[in-house]
Amino acid sequence: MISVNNLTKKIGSVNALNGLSFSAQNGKITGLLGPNGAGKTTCLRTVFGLLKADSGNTEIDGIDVAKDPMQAKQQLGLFPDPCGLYERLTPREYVEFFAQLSGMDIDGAKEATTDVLSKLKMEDIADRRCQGFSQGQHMKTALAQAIVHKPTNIILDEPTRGLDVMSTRILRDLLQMLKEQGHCVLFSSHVMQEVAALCDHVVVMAKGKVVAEGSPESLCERTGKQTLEEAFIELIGSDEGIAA
Amino acid sequence: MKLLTVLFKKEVLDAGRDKRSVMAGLYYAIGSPILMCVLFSIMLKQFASPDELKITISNADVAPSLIQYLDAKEIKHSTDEDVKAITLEISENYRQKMSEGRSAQVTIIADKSDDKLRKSIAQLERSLMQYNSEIASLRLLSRGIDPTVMRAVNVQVNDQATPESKGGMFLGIATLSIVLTLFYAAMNLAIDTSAGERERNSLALLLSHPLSSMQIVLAKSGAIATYSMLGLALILVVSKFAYAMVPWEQLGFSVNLGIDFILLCMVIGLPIALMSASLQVFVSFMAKSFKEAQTYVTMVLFVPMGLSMVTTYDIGTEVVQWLPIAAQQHAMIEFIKGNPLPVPQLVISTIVTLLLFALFSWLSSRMLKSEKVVFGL
Amino acid sequence: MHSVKKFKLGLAPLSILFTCLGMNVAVLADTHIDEKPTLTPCYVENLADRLLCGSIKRPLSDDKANAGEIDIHFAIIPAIKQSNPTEAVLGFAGGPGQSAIELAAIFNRNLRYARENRDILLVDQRGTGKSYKLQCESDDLVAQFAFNDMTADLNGLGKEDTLRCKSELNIDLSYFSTPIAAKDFEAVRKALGYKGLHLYGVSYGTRIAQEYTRQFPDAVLTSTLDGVVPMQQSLSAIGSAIDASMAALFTRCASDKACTKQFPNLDKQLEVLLTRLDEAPAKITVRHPRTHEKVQLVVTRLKLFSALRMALYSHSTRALIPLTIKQALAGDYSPLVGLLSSSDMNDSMALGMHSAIVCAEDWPRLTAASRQQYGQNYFGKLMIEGLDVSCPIWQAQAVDERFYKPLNNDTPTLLLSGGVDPATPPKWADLTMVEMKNARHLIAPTATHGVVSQTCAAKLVSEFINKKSAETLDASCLEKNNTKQFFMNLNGAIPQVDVSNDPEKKGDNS
Repeated sequence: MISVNNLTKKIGSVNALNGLSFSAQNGKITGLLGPNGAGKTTCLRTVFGLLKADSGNTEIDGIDVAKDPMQAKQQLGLFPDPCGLYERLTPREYVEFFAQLSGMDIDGAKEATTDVLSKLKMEDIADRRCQGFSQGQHMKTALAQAIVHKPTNIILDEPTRGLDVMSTRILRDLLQMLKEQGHCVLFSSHVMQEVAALCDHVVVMAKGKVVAEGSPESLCERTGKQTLEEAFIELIGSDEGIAA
Repeated sequence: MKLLTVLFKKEVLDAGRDKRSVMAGLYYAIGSPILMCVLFSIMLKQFASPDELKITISNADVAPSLIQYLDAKEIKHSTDEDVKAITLEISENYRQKMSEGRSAQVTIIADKSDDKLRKSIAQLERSLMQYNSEIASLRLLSRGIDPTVMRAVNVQVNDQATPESKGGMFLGIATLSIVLTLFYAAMNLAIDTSAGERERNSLALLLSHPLSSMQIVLAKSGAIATYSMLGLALILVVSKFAYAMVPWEQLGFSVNLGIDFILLCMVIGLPIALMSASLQVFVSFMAKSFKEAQTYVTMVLFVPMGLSMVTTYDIGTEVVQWLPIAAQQHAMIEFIKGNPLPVPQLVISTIVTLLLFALFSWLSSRMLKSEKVVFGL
Repeated sequence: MHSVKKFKLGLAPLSILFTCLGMNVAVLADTHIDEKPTLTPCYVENLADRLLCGSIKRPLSDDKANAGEIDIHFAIIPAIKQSNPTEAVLGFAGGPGQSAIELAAIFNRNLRYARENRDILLVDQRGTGKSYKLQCESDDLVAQFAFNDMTADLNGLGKEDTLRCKSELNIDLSYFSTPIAAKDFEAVRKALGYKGLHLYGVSYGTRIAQEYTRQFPDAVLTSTLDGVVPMQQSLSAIGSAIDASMAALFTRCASDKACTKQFPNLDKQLEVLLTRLDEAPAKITVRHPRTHEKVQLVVTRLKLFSALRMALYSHSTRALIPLTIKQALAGDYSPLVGLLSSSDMNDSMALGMHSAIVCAEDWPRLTAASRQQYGQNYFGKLMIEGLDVSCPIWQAQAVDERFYKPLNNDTPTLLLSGGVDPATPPKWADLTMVEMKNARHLIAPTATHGVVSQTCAAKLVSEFINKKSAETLDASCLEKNNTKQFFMNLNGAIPQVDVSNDPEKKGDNS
């Protein structure tokens, strides 16, 4: 479970986060929806402890990230944007490396890596260097890295960006699977269909604040709109930065 | 510690696959001693077998004895194309002055600012001086005087040098290239693993994991230092064989890099390698981009290079001998020369080197906690 | 008071190449033969480089255990680059009687190329230098100048001198012969751990080099003999070499226009001068060559001939010989005084050791025929007469007959001779190598005694040592003429210029 409590963060003169609060539950997929510049990435980075909030706090499974980052991060998997691959390593080496960083021992990391690579159907590229990978292969590698140590909480920053249909489907299945296994999945996106199709819970963000949250259906209901997209526009008050 | 090992292994693996950077380091380590040895060999050839000196001698007929003497010293009159721009003009009244026991004038006409001629002019002057002293001795003998009366003091020199210690300047240059390896062999790797890592966005991912920034910095420095040491080992081995092939003995000294010297360099070099790595990581993180890092690192490396040069050309004051790099290089030179190691200097400078390593590592790790540095904000 | 030794007894050194004076070796640690000798840094005159000195103990006699021990001292000139640590170049000094260590500067120069990658080992042969030097006091220059060998009872003085020297030394000279000394060199080699040696002997040094090769052939990698003394020939044969060298000088003068003009009929002139001195020695007052005090000089044939003989060794002093003869004829003995001063050897030559060698090796084998043959020359006759006086007193045991056999081996050997050598002419080298199977003889036509120090041969020797073969050496550089122009007057090679009719003088007065 991830809970974000009243975060504020100033970057330069901009209030990137402005009293942001929401929570993502285990066994659910939570979507962080907002236009470009709404503060999604800043929010996620704060959750990871990469950025320090000016005020407010983030808890992961009840552990304050700012106070005990080591412990808190053990329960996190991150799918960053951009992916941050090591081009000279193979996906197997890459995933194994991060598995160990997340606290697994060598044997455990090896086993878990083999597992996750087969789960993602990556055997064919597992021992090729990442250099020259397609966007989808990049994404899969990054995803494998994020979930290899089976963290309770998985955070995905714009995971579908640049994915083709097939990859998107794989990702979608994967997230469903993680959800069924009881993980807490939090991802940010500005693609309506994704969010509508996947999320159990949507947090709509604008200008560093939560504008509304609830299930896609409840959001539509609340705004009286047919689709999430329309509901979204209604909620943030403009159609700026929305991808159809 | 376990994390450190994991990080270190990954850094070594990742860097090892960066063929271009590794090769750049290796080229330096292999190339520089070989290049220097080739240059030295050419230089030595000129030293060792000075070709006969061809000059223009005017009015040679009047001084056959002098001409014959110079000829025995390989100095000849010539009209060939490769004749040096030196004219020895024998005066018109040479015969008369000589036979009367007065100084007979000979004039050397040459441009002394011409570097290529300087050695030849000196050779000619030396030979003329020797001719002077030989004729003077015989003139005294023929007057019934023992020529040793001209030698009021019999100057004897007890040279404390050994064939190993006489190669001073060459040793300086040799150790310069060895010390600089620790800075240049892994320079590209250092930039790649820091500024490069950030530019490829993997730094943020790394920092998102449960580990401290100090661990990351130490692992990176360690990996870079490993490659520096590899470069050091390589340049030492290459130097050992390359320098052995240069015919130094023709100049009256020898340069012998033994196994014990190699081991000593490895021991002395390790703290420098760590310091160098942490310095380069620090500077690279300070830069905003990969390109900028390259510029900064190159600029910063002038400092160790300067310290090394000061030692090489022996222009430093007493203080310099205590400074890091300068002191260690000095110790290397003393070791090859077979002199006792300057232990206090070596110990102090090694401690300072390690302190600098700690300082740079600490600064880097502090920087990695800064959002500005990590995201280039 | 009486200095017969120097001129009369044939003890004048065969080689004056080596005029290194004094001795400056650091105090050395005592060592025993069974352990590696301690090497101490040391320096010798005229050589700035740091050497390593040491010594080993050797029995004075192999046969008589109670004869005691002597220290054999040695010095190592370290290789510049130690590429052949198991080899060394062993230098043998001439004389006999010179110290190899004292001559280190000259060995270092002659062997400079060989030293680039091998140690040079110098051992003071027993009886010389630091190794139990057998030296007796000899007269100073003033006494030598004043001595009149025409009136003195030479044989009586010689006997007296020898007896005095014998009682001073108080040792059996039989222990100091070449075959015994060779064993010391081997002991030093073993003590220092060299597996093989490259020998380099000069003058008498070639004799001990050959003897060493004969006794220890396996230790010898190559042998370079410079100014070669054949085993089968007495040193008394030197007389003809001196005459031949002098004759060559006269021939050269005769073939030179300026020289003939200045010194016509030089050979006749010398005869005239010597005969005149035989009739009545010139008794004159001259200036001491160093103090400039007035001293008495009695010029006899013996003194003049000895001075000219020594002058023959070097081209610089050869250039003064015609002038010396001419001036002496005219009553001016200044050039002669100069030559006498330059052949004043101080005590660098161990005369006792010299006697040990010649009395045990050269004198016993003289036959009526060889006496007759060698006695044909003035100096040969002089030498034999001297030996006949002193050797019976010394009673040095004659060496074994086998000593006189020419070497028969296949050791790579390089023999070097100077074409105008007044001591060891080229035909001596030919005699030496009659039975050698792997020898090459190179002659430098214009060189005197000791070819290496006068010519390019230093390079050839190093090449020979490196290749262990003399076959492919390119000896063409030995042809280079290294003679010096004769002094035409006291000021040099240019005769007095007659200002009025010298065409080269024109335009000088402007």
